[in-house]
Formats: sequence, C-alpha cells, structure tokens
Amino acid sequence: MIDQIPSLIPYANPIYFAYVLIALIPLIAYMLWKEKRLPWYQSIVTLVFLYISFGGSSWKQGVALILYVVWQTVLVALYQKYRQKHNQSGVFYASIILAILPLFLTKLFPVFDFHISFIGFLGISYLTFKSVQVIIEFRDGVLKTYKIWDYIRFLLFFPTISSGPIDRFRRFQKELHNAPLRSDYADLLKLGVHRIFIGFLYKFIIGYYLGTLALPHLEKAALDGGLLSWQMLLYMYGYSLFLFFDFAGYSLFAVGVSNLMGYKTPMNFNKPFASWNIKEFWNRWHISLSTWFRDYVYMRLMFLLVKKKLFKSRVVASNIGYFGLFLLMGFWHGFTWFYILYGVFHATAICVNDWWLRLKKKHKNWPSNKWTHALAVVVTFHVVCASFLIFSGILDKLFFN
Amino acid sequence: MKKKLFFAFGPVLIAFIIVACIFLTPTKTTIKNDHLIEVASSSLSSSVVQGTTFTNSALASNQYLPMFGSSELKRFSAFHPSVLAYKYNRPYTPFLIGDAGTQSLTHFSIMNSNEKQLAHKKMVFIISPQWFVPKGIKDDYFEAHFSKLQLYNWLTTTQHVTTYDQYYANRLLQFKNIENSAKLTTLLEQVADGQALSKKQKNSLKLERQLLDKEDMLFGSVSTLFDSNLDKIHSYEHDLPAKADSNEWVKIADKIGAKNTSNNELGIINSFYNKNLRGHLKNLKGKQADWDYTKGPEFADFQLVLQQMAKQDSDVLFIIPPINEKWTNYTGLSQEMIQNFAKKITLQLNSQGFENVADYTTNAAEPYFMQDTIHLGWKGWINVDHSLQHFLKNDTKPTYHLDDYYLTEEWQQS
Repeated sequence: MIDQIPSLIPYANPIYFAYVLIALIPLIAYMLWKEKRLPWYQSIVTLVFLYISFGGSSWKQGVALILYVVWQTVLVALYQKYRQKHNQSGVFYASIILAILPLFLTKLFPVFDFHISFIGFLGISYLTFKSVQVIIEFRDGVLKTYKIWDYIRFLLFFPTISSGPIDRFRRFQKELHNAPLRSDYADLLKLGVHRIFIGFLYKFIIGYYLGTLALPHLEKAALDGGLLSWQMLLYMYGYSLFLFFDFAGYSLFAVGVSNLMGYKTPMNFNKPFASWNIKEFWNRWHISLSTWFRDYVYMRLMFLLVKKKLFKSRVVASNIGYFGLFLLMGFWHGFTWFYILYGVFHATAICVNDWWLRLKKKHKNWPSNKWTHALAVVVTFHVVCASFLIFSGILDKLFFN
Repeated sequence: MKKKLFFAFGPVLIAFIIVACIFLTPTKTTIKNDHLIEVASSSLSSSVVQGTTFTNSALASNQYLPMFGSSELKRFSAFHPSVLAYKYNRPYTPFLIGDAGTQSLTHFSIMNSNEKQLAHKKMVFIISPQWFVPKGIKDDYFEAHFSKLQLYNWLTTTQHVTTYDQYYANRLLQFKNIENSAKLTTLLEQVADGQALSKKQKNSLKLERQLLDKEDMLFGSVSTLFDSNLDKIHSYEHDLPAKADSNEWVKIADKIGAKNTSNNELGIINSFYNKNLRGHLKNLKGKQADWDYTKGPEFADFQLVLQQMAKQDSDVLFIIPPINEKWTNYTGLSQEMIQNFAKKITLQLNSQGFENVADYTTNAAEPYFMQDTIHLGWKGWINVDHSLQHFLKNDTKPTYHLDDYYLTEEWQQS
C-alpha cells in the first residue's frame, strides 16, 4: 500500500496539483459549511504531503526533516523557558547559533566534498528563517507563550515548506485559530485558483521554454562567446527572466494553495522588473526574504551600530549594515564565490543607490519626468540582470572549467 | 455564494475537461509537417532519442536512412553524412539517432519502439569501442536517455517472454532510476521471472502510454526546433566541391584537417583541445594503459540490439571507428586491445549473419581520419561514405541465425 504512494517534489509536476485539490476538497467544503477549521484533517493532509515529498526514495530527507523539527522545537522551548526569567545576550546568541547550525553544516559540507545525508533536506533554508524569527521574537518579548503544536504546524505548513514564502509566526498563528468568514473564504478561493493558474503560465509554460529549452543553448553559446559577447548578454536576459518566472511561478503556487486552505500567506513578488532603483527592487523581489533580512538583520545591525556609536556617520553605519545583510544573504545561498560576489554586488549597488538619492536631494533642479523614470527602470533592470549573471554560476564555468 | 464558488472553481473544471479531451482521445500521433521532420532528422534532439513520434513519422516514408550512433553524429563537418547527402542531392537523408552516452540498451529501446517502421529496411549502426567498458553503460548515461514511453511500448507489446526479454528486464533492474520506482521494479521483476504482463496490467499501462504519447507529440516538436542543426549543416556544404570526387575530397580533408588541428601535436581539433584537454593534458599521460574494452555487459546488451535487428529484418551496415593513435600513444591506451575488441565484436556479428561490417580500427594512424580522440573526422567520414554507398547498392538480403550464447556471462567475460 505504502509503495503505491507516489513521491513527488512539491509543485514540480502538474499531477501534484490534482492530488492537492482532491485532498483539499473535504477541508474546503467543511470550512465553507461551518466557517471553522478542521485541524485534524489538515494535519493528516500535511502528513500525507510531507510523505509524498520526503518519503520513498528521498526518505533520508524525511529523517533529516524529523530530526530537524525535534531539534528546533526543543531549542525554542528551552529558550522560551529561559527567557521568562532571564535575558542575557550570550544565551540569545547561542540559541541563534544552535538554530542556524543544521543549515550551516549542510551549506558547509559540500565545500569539503563531505556528505552526511541525515542533515540536509529540501527547504531547510526556509525553515531556518522561521525558527530564527521565533527566537528573536521571544527575545524581543513580542512573543511570550509557546504553543508547541502551533509552532510545529507553522514550521511544517506544507504549501510553503520547500521554498517559502517565509511567513511570520504571529500572523500565521492568528489565522490558525480563526477561520475566515464564508464570503471572504469564497473570495480567497477564487484568488487562490487564479494564482495557481498564473503560476502554471509562469512556471510550466514560460519557465519551461526559457529554462529547459532555450537556456542550455544560450549557455553553450555564451560559453563559446566569452564574457564580453552578445551571446553572454542574451544568456543574461534569458537566465534573469527564467529565474523570475520559475520562482515567481513557484511562489504563486505556494500562496495559491495556502489560499485554498484559508491562509493568506504573503506574496513574494510584485513586478520586480518595473523597479526604478535597487532599493525598490528588493521591495518587490523575493519580498518575504528581503523583509526578513531587513527586520531581523539590517535593522538590528543598524540599531547596534548606532547605539554603540561605532560609527559617527549614519551613512557609514547604513552602508556597513547593507554589506552585512547582503554578505549574509550570499552565504545563505551557498558557500561559493559567485553567491558571495552576488551579495557584494548588491551591497555595492544599494550603497551607490543611496549616494545617488542623497545627491539628487541636493540638486532639486535636476530633471525628473517620465523619461528619467523610464531610464531608471532600464538601468535598474540591467544592474539586476548583471547580478543574476553572477548568481547563475556561468562565470565559474567560464573561468575555472 | 453559489455564483462566487462557480467562478472560483469553474476554470478548474474546464481545465480538467480540456486536458482530458486532449490526452485521452485516442488519435494517431504522427507529424505531418515535412519541415519539422527534416529538422528532427539532424537535430539529435532528446525527443528523437526518448520519444517515438518523430522517428515513427520520419521512417514511415522511405526518404530517411536511419543512422544509429552516439556523440560522433553531433560533430558536424564537411564530410558528415548529413552534409554529403544535402550537397549531392542523394536519394536519402540520414535520420540521426543518438546522443553523447547512448549505447546498446538505449538503441534497443528506440528500435523496439519503432520496429514496424524499421522493418525490412536498410540502416547504419556505429559501434563505439569505448562503450565496452568493464561495467557497461554508466547509470547517468542510461538515466539521461531513459524513456518511459519506450519502456511501456515494450512492456505492452511483449506477448511471450523470451530469454532476451528476461535479459533486458534483469538488466534494467540494475539501474538506479528503475530501482527507485516501485512500480517499474514490480513489473520488470515479473518479466524477469518469465511472466508476461496480464491483460489488466497491460491495459493500465496503455492508458499511461497514451498520455506519454500525446505529451511526446505535443511538446517534442518545439524542443526539436530549438535543436535544429540545419544552418550548421548547410554552412559546411560550402567546403565541398560541386561534383563528388573522392580525390578532390581527400585533398580538401587534408587542408581542413591541418588548419583545424594546428594548436596541438595530437591531431585533435583545436576547439576540443582548448575546451577539454588544455591544462590537464599532463595528468592524462600514460593513464589509460590498463583500460580494457574487451569484456563486460555491453557485449550482451549489444546482442539485444542484434536480436531486435533480426526480428525486424533490418539490413545493417556496422561501422567501428578507430581511436586516434597519436592520442592513444600519449595516454597509453592499447591499440592491440582495440584490435582484440574489433575481433570479438566482428565475430559476434559475422557468426550470426551480420556481414556488413566496416571496421576502421586499423586506420587509427591516418592523419585527419579522426576529428579528435574518439570521434570520426574528415577522412573518417569519407571512408564511411564509401562503405555506405557500396552498402546501399548491395541488394543481397541477409539471413540471420541468432545464438543465445552471446547473452551469457561467459561470452561477456571471454
């Protein structure tokens, strides 16, 4: 019997959606009828879909996931218990380090060509954001009580488990205990279906043509053409668009399926290529990641730097903050030179952007109209594409292979 | 409320209906577009290797000459069979079937799925010595060209399980991607035990096969267009003289060869040398001295191909390319071992009635015969063309008498 359960990577195959829809029918019907959630049924669906994603041939990932969840729940429980009476920075930082440790090890091991299959699993990076966030909120005192099952359900919410969007615990918890009203839920269902269909267009049609069909040819041509060639330029555009449609498509699936279940998981993309500067770009690209880094890394780093008066100038402090944020993001993607360079590139771009905005403020008479706006969008688009070219790893192949 | 829900789930319902209509209506899956088939013939695209629609459609007409092989087919140059066929308006167009890493098992699977269209026809099969490594085809290569559609074709059309079917099932069970699928494992174990699939099992597979068939037809075309090599082929036509003349060809081959292998002493085309060898050439010196292509499962896998050819009554020209001698002198790979390989494979062929064998392993030292280390080059292809023209004129029908001995472990290791 258990052999017959298929093993599928979430959202990778259209048939996955058929399974999701069938599994969700009782849940949707019940919520429409009673305006109440059906927690036990949701737990069963979650377990089945976790089994589909992490069972079968990827059972080692499944074991890793279980170990990971046990690790994080115990860690958060201990920290919460401690935080009720004390508040030492050392303990807080130690907890954060322990929360990040599994992720750190999975990122580090490949560097040394060393593999332990019971540590890493699909989605570990995204779960780590969730657990670190909760520890920080206990430290801040915004979170006080710890409901272990709420936390586990937050971590294991299956629509977003493999690649986000990264939800916030308090937001999720509120929804967990309050079902939407019938008429709101009907609207949400419509929105969810709509998002899933747009996701199909993005990921399975546009993403497929770009990624599976065009990119291998573009990459080959670019490698033959060299760094400064029009082929490389073409590859840069192709890869950037692919990255957007593939990831935005995935995110639409995750948000859409959440909607079907009656959850308003935040959106991850908002027309990023229409941004007129880098800062705006990060407000529109992988939004749940950039706001996470803004709230839990950048703001805190700035606060620390300003409070301790390490730097006299706010500008310097802010620039240091950006480098801290984007370097961390680079390392988070993987301990590889081009991811780290990608981080440095964006930190530099955003510092230049800030400098430009200050300069523009001083020169109020500089032209500002729809043409300058269009120019800004084009320039931003190219800067972003250049960063994705670094991110793609093609330079690694070009220089070192 | 009802209206709201109707607008929410109406699209889902319509989508399901449309998909069901497209995939479950049993219409024929052939391609009528001649241009598309022409692109496919030299595209070496994955839909040619893993699908069935293109090969089926192309081979239904007699215009195409199937050529089975591997990476050498991809390396176009002036004397490549496709270029020659276009330049001199030959009565056939080669239909190239293969890719880097396609070996006997993949070719068996492709042929089996197209056996009706291949029946009683002439074809070319290029046997690469380097397939015959002691462990046989690598997992990655097998998986990259594995086709569920072709496997289902085989499973649903096998009536009585033969020794060959059992061998094939057992062989498939050794690969990781098969092992990972509980369903395929169960089915193949059944065949390996000598049991054909039941009617019920076949019917459930047929439904899935129909889905895969439709998928192949709907999406194979676009991916093939991306893989077109026609421009490249036509550009090489300019290197050729207006009239086909072997002496003239040899002169041109010498000239192009010399020009294109100028950056190394090993007779390897410059681009290949730059990309694959420059830099770590030193690490390869003498490193291949103990390589052996004379033993291993590939000999039995190849027997499976021969059995399929006999079954469909194909008339086949086999080509055995050499390995560049300047290169083997450097790496230590033994030319004597390659001779032994050629002897062994020729014995397997001739003793069963496969008489058309163009064995070029003695041409290893001829300049510009090879394009690089293991891929046929300018003069190599000229020689292939001679053999091919001779083969196409010859109308004596072969008679085959298969010997199961060639499936055994004893033969593999002898």
